[in-house]
Amino acid sequence: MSKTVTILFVLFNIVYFFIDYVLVTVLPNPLLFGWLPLQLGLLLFFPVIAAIVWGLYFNAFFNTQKHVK
Amino acid sequence: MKPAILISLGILVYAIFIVWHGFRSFKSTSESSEKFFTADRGLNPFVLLCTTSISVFSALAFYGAPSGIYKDGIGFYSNTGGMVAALMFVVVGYRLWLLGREYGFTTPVDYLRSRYYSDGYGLFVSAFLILFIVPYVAMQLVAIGDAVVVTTDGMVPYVIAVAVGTIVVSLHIIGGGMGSVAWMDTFHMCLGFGTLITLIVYLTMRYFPNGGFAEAVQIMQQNGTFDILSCPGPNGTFNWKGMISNALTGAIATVVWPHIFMRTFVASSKENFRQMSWAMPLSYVLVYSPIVIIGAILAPAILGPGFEKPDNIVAILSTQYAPPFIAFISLLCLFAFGVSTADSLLLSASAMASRDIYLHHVYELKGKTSDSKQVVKFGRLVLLLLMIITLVIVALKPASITDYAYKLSSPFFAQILPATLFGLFWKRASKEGAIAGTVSGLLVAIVLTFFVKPPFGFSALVWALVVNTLLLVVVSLCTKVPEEITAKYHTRIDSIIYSGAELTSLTDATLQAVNQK
Repeated sequence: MSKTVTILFVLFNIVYFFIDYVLVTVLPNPLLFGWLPLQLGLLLFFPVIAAIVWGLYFNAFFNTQKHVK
Repeated sequence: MKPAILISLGILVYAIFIVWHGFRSFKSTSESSEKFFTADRGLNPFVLLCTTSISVFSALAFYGAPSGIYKDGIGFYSNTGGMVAALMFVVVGYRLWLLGREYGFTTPVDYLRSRYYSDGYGLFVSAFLILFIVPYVAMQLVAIGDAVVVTTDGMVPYVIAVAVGTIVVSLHIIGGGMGSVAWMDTFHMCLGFGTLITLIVYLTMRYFPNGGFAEAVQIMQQNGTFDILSCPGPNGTFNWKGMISNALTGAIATVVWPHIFMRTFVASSKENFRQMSWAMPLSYVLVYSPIVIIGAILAPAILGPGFEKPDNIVAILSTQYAPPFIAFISLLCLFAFGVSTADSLLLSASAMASRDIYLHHVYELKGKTSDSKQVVKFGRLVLLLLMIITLVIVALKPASITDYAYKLSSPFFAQILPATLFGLFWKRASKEGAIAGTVSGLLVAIVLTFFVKPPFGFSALVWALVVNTLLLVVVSLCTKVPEEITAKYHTRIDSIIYSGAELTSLTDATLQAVNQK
């Protein structure tokens, strides 16, 4: 794994968890689609983006672990 | 026939099925403790995903989370911690899995005792983990017992319901061990998800036919429950401090809960971890989103503000606001969440008691050879004993499900988090540091949970982990770690992870260069 990729991955997680634990509590909360408050939308669906990023990163990481049977 | 009778019969059929499933493999699991406690380290990715995820989603998730959201708003959802458990499971779990393969670890105590080269520390950790598993298991059964009483309209008394639940869960594990637990968890995961979707679709179509969730939210704006849909919520609980405290309690430390910790050892290959990295957070989103929608939108819109028994909102919605079939499958869903957590925790308690206390102290330390069948037999006896203790506790029936379990069990499980993480990633982490950190963390958790209000709006757990970590680091810096420990737990594992990776990269680069020429 290149150092740049690892640093970007760490930065993504810092930003992600900061938004999910801290920023979401002070964000404005308009209703999306007439029923979904923005804060709830972020809490519910932001993790999908995290899942994609984590999946991509660890897929690349485990490609370097071919020697582990 | 009355619906309550049909529901009771359904529960009976379900209970018989679970016990039968466990005892199907009684003979084969009696042969070795490896098979009984780790399913021969052979769980495939899908089964590992289901058993890990559903073991985290306890009865507290199905009943406690909608209730918590109804009381304190959507910030309660921070108990999933942005699905951080999935990230932790891969980052921590892969190293633990490698260690398990190298040195035969099965339980959290196996690893901690060996990494911190202290039998006393191992004994201490196994004792407090086993001690605090029991109330957490009891809470699952209390939730099930309460729900059975409500759903069957009092036809099945509480005591009978919890007794049947406890005996069924215990017999299921006694019969089949980890393999049986994992496969039943997979069934429960599918059952739980299907039930949640059915419940939401029915309630929405029945009570909000003209606009679905939008109509429900409009009603919330009028009936005074709209604050539930924002942070910090109606009682101001979930500002950022509340969010972090809740995430620490419910999510960040999840990986060191004994039953989840044990699951890092049972993966069949590294592919499990590759797939868990994306599948586990997605499974959380899939299962937890319906739970949140029940607590945040459907319950406030249907029941209105100030519902007297918020712990029972799911039971009330599924029995008084839905037909008996929905009530029955909701009850099955609660069983799915409760049984899956209870059986996994009881199995981990049994593993620690039989392997880490009985096997290690009665055989290994005295240089005696152990009989694997004897260990399984002892593990099953421990399960019977735990069954009796749990029955006594559930008969006492504490008042608030979530508060009780969170106050007692989760903060205590979390106290092995610093020792686990530093033991994996910091060569300097020493025995003295681990003991000082864990003991001080437990003391701070006790004091701030029961005697003194935690300062600055953070929970007792946050302070306990801060003190635990600080002491572990400071004391470790003042003490030394034997060289063989560093070689075994850091040099060796790093060489497996990185040296092989470097070799693979070098080979790939060389091949690429040769091909280009």
